[in-house]
Amino acid sequence: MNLHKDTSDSLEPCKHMESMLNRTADGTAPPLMKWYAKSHAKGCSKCGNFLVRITSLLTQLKDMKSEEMSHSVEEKLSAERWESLEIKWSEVERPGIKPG
Amino acid sequence: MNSATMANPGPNVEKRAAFAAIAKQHEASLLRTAKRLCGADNDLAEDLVQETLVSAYRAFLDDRFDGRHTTAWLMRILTNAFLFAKRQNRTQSGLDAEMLPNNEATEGNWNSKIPSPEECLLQGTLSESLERALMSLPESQRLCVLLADVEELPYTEVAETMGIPIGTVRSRLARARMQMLTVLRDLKKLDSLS
Repeated sequence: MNLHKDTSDSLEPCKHMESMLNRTADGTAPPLMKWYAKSHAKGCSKCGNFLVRITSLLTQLKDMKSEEMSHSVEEKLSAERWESLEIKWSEVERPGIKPG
Repeated sequence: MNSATMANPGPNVEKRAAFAAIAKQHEASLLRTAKRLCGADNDLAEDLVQETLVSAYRAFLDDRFDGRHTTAWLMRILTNAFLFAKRQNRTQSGLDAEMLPNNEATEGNWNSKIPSPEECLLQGTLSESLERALMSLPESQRLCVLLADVEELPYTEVAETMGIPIGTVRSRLARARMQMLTVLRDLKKLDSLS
């Protein structure tokens, strides 16, 4: 079964499916919605392609964080920044003085 | 823990130590998000995180932090600081001030330095196509993607952080993802031509 044949490089899924496909891809769809979206995507190449692309995009975005955490040194403020923070925190502790 | 964070804590020694531990725990995720918000300007991103941790400590001392959803709480302060900076600088950035939440803004002297995504691209600092797609988004959408899809905060916390309904989070994410897919497709086409 092929409900809607995809003949262009358009990324657009069927309009009424966009939200359901997004929620299926990001894991927030309730079971029935997920089942419906996947069933539709199986028979509709536009929605099938969209689901594959959006799932891949979400995987890449999640990987950005894990790659940064595993590669090189984890993001840290410099020692100078921490010294400056210490001074500003001390100012915050003193009533009536606004940290600059 | 960095010993520098514990110097001269005064009578708030326990609170300072507790907050320094929170700051250390969330330092990396705050910096990651700030850098993606600010483009290539690492100094500006660090300014933003520093300002966030000062504002958060003020709230912490005033018992305005309930101890729940620490990441969302800090991200909300970071987000407000960033959006406030953009609002101050909106004539250059083209940001629509009406989309900003009406939360208390933070102060800082760094707000005129935020580069637009176009400037980042022109500087050649965003080499990877995914980063470019991310930077092509309007701030309101980019924030949603950073909080929900990169930092993986639940949608309820993203909504709370940004001061918008959860339905708006979903619709912004849908628009943002479509925009990113379009940019990624176009970049792929350009690559194949060159």
